[in-house]
Amino acid sequence: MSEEFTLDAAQEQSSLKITRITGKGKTRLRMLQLGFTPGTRIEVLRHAPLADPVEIMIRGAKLALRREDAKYISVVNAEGQ
Amino acid sequence: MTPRPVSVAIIGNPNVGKSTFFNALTGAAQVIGNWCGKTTEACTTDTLYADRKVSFTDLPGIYGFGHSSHEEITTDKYLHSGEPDVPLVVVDALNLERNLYLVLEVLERYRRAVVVLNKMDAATEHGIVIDHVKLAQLLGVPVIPMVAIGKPAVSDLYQMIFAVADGTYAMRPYRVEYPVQIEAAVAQAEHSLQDSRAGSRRWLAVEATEQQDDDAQVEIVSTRYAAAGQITAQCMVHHPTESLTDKIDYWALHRWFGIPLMIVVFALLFFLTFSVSRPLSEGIGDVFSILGDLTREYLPGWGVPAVMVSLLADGLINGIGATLGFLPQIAIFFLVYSLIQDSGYIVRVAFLMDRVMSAIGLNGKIFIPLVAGYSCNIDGILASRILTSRYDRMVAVLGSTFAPCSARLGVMVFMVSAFFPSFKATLVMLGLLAISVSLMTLTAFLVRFFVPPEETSSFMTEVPVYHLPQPKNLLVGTGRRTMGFLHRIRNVILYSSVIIWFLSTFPAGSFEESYIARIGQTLEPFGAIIGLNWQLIVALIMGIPAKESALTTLGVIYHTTSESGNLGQVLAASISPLTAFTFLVVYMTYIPCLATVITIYQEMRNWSMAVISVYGSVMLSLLLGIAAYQIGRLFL
Repeated sequence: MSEEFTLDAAQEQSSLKITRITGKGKTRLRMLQLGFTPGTRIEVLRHAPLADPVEIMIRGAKLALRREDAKYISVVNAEGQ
Repeated sequence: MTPRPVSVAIIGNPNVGKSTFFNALTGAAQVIGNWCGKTTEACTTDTLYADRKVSFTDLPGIYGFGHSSHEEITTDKYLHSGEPDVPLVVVDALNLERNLYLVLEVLERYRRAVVVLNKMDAATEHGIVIDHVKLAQLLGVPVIPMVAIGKPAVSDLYQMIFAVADGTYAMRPYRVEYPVQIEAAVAQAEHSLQDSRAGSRRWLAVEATEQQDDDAQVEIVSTRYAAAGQITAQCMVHHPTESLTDKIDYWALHRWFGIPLMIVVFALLFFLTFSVSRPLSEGIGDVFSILGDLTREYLPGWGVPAVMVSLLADGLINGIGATLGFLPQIAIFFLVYSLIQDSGYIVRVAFLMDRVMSAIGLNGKIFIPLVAGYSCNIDGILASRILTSRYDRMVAVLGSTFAPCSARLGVMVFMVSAFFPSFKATLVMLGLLAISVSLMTLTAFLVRFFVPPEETSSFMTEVPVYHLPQPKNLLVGTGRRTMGFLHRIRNVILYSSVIIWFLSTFPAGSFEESYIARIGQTLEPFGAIIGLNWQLIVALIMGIPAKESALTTLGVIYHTTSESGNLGQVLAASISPLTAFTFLVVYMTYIPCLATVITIYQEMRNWSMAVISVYGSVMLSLLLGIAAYQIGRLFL
């Protein structure tokens, strides 16, 4: 089991698995509704030219989110799993 | 006996093509009414199909029935106002799994639905094959695939809507089963429920359980998503291909080329608008100029009194001609802008610019209303609905009024090209645009004083696949915009050109004696600070109802005829380039047009915002005018 970190620190082109969603209120609900649930695999596609936001692939769809929001998503590396 | 009318609520994720679907649907039936709820902001269209009244309500795009956005609150408010006979969920075939999450929540709430599988053709292109018969079996509700929206599909759809409304369709809605401890909590909540008008008791109980604690919330959402995943796996096959979207985004979102490319795209937008529209505008101007000359030449001979001839030629023909000159510009700008927006590129722009916008506490999405403001300030204000935080919305609404709209841009381009040679003209235009951007930034800072930061506005946006908008949709949208503009001519320009003509013709005598000249001369001392003569002041006043009337007014005041040359030449001979520049700075900034001010009131639901907008922009325009004139004098 690799170490847990938050999505804002993820490298481009990395493959990850969500472990938990922290955060509160509307932002948390919106993340859950968009499919950020524990166990879901996500891929980091790219960082924007000015480093923020990040584009990810989740459940076959592409989403952009800010690093400050990505902080509320804890992940582990899912490479080769 | 007339059959019972049916109400249909159209529900769906954002960006699933709900509006296109809605337009096609209501376009194929006889529309008998159209209205928007004042309290719910939801728009309803009544249609008559097979002698039966069907009311469709188009609801804003949502991801679930929570309260996580303005759209969800609006939808919820509407659904609470009365239960729809048929909840119709529009599903994006390109994004089945996430869309099914909402379907499952709808089924939990209403235990019935009609599902429309949209964008099937685009899905096929992306290697996605969906077995819609299997999907209907799994969900236990009718599923209607939409490839091209034609009469047969619409007829199927109405049949299904009637079947569901009348209870003749054997509905076996999918029921999400939660883990044991959640089910126990739900059962307990269900027991203590009093009211069940807003949906099924089970759904209300699940909602109540979800709100009890964060762990339950995660469990409930995860279980629904697991079900959505299982259903998707059973009816969908995906052969991933390297899509065109990936190839475009490699460049469009590229670390080094993304932003320069974006600048090129916007430069092209403005260049196309002006280069294509200019000859057309000039042509229209020439036609009206000839028409005016003919009127002056022949009508007196037919016994028409001189006053009437003057009213027709100097007032109406001149005024309408000057305004119609903007028609090509508005149509072309809107066409190209719609292409950028509908193709999905505008989301990339938000992605590229978010970091810049967040530096001043704004959301990257604010770029969309602000850019839309360059087409028409009203568009900008309406587009600011996509923003969820109060601060972002206020900045978008107030800031987009500083975007010189296509009417103002038209006047600006006209004046700039009359006064400056082409290279210098481009620099002057860019300078004016830079001022408008600075004013938007200033707005962001000023609003910060009044609106405390709330919960951080988040930028969580879908990045949709690119698609080429259907030419028909583009043309219909452009046509509607153009007609709206013509409508305004009838309502505003017609009266204002007659008023201007009256004020500038009476009392009889020399032009300097006319009412309009007297008003302008009274205000001239104020104008002197910013170097404006009374003619220009009058033009500014007359531009308040509609910005393009400023040019109309100048046309009337400077009495252009074919001998005197066109308005541009007359102006260039009468005022200095510095005066013209100062005029443009003030003109670009002072008071958005009346229609915009009214829209601000309608959208923000209070007059104080409209007053702040007017007062703020007048003050800023005076300050900028003084600065431009006084600094300019040092150099010229």
